[in-house]
Amino acid sequence: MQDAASSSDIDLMRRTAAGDRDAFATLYQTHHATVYRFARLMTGSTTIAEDIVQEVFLALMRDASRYDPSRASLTTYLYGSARHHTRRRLLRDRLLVRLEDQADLCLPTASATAAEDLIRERDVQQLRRAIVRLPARYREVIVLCDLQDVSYADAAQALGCAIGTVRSRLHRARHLLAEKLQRGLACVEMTR
Amino acid sequence: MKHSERNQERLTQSLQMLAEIESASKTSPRVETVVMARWDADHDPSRRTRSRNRRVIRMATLAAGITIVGALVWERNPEVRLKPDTTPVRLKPDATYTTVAVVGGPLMADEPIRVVRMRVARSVLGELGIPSPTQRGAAPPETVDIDVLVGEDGVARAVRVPISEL
Repeated sequence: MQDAASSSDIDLMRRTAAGDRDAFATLYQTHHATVYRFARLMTGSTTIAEDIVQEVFLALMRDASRYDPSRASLTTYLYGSARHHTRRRLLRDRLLVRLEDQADLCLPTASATAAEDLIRERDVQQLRRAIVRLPARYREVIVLCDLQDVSYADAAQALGCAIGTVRSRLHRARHLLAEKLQRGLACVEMTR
Repeated sequence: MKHSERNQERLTQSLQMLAEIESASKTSPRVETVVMARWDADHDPSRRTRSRNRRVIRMATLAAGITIVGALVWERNPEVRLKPDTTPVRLKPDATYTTVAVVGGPLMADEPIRVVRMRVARSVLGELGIPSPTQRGAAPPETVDIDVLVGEDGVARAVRVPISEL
């Protein structure tokens, strides 16, 4: 199934490089959400994530002919590109004071009771904040492996490191997250 | 259950929850509109033709400008074209030149000629059959000024060298 998707991506990329608009539109439809989710979780901002999606696909449009399917699947390639643009954007915005747009990250969750909703929402919000505050190298593996369900091998390819490095970073990242969440809970308990 | 294990379990649950929530998220249609508009702009053939035409016009204008400026400089500074070699040739006022070699056809009577003074390596004199100064035990400069007599057709007719070199 994955192979079929991959060969379809290769064909779409080939057609995109040849100037086929429909092929590019299909690529966008298929992959934009993946890039968007990665960027949103990495930056904690919907606005920046949309900018990154735009940049990634404009770069894909320009460099379609340079894509080499023997090196990585298109999804992995897009993760690599999204990572590059995200890092560049975060570096550029480092000195700017960003208006918080966390509010638009809250999505309603389906649950039995309103109380459960509130608890879940609070937990998710805490988790989002904790993820955004992680160092980039740990944030990337959490987002890819735990939230985007990317395999260790693909994550290693997208991040340009060894699988062992992904594993160790993931272990460390989970540990840091658990600590942060624990501290966050302690703060909530104290304010009650 | 240990405290740290409880934390990890809670983290795993929260991560699953967040992944579920995120799986439904999509960009606004505005992003797609912008990206596809950019595609259309970059792949519009009429736009590409216009762009190519503009590039050709720019290049032609630039070439014409360079030509005009070059012509103006040429006209206003005639000495520029008369001095292809920036090293000035110092003529020897006391040098008397004599024709030592005829290299082209014979000079016709009343044929207008031009004399081009050139600074050449002394070894050229040897090729003209003039013994080199080293053979005579002297230590002259490495170059010598000679005159090349050029006919109206641009063909060299004869070479003159200073008598002092003979």
